[in-house]
Amino acid sequence: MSTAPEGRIDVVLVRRGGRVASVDIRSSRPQLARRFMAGRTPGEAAELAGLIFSLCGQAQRTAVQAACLAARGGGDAPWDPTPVRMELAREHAWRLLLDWPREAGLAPDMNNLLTLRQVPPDQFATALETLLRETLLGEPPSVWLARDAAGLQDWCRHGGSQTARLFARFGEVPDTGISTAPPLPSLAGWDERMATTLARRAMDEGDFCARPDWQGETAETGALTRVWHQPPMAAWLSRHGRGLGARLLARLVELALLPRQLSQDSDSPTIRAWSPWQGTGMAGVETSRGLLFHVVRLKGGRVEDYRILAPTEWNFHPSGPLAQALQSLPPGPNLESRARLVTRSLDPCVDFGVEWRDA
Amino acid sequence: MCLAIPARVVEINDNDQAIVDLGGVRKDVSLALVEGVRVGDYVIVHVGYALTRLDPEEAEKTLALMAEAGLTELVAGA
Repeated sequence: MSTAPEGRIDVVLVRRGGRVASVDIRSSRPQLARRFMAGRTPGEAAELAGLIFSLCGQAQRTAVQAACLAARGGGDAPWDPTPVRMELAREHAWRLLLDWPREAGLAPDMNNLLTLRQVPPDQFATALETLLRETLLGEPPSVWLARDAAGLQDWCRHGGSQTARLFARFGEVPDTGISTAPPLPSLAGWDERMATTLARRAMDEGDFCARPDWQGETAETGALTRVWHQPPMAAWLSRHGRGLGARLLARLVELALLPRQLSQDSDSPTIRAWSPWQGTGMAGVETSRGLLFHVVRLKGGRVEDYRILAPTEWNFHPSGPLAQALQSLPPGPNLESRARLVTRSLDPCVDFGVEWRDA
Repeated sequence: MCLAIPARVVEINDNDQAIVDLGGVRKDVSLALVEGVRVGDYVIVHVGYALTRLDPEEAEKTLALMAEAGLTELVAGA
């Protein structure tokens, strides 16, 4: 078995004169939706999705349920977003407590991550609020979320938490890994016409779900496209641009919003569904890595055809956000580690490697 | 869209480290994020960490589903 069956992302960079001359992104991620789902009832398909997807099982299961209900004419039911939001929060916490401290040479915080992964659902919002207040932010999330540009800079320099020190490292220099790919609209911005266009392309175009574009352009999806208007995020974006620091900060901003969103209704939808045409359903679910779409065609109460369009395929498109971000890396020292950090900032849901060749 | 492929724990070492068998391939993983794992249990692994512990019945069901979907090579030695 040469590669893992879930596939991986391999990035090959050619260096010429100390700068990135070309970027080649190869994905071996298989498109398995039809193979797994065809012939199953909606109930079987939902159970299967929860079993076979490891990081986003709740989001995948909910997407199956929402898409199948819409295909049967059930419309856009008010799905409970809580399990999907808890899953999203745990993924963000993993990045902020383990992956990024490790990349920055700081100690990972395994204990707090373990606590968040094990806490019962009814205590989750309280546990997350405590984690934010005591460990990540050093102050109540509501106070931190109101910080403007000067306030955010002050927190980076004097905040005291390990997370503040982490952002201080990224915040003192211009952001790197800038992508010019337009943000994919977050779920709130989708309407029936857009959903129909996407569903038709997913069903009809052979490789659309492997290399998607929106209105002829590649697009970036992720926490950033959901929280860009929050004060600390807007402050960072205007000062540093949309690069790796922004992508990391977006996860912290979204995590800081979640205790309130988990305990009361939120204005931003997490799950939506449409029926683009009879017998077909499409669902969109916001996950930690971005927008996940499922499209299903039912016949006689069973799945006839199925497509899954995952966020990794938008962000790791061969000419998409990652390719642009790597191509724009300024020459200078630590080019290799900067390229790796930029790749990590887009957070593929499978293992990845970055290889260098000299021209 | 990473697949949750059950891997069997074949050896547990110090510092929450373990060796798992995934389709005949052995890998080092950290058990720091799951509790109560014993040799013979199945776990779901992602980038070097065991994410969840599965009971054998659940693991076998998942492996059978994956084999049914044509991913036979990954279940060959599991």
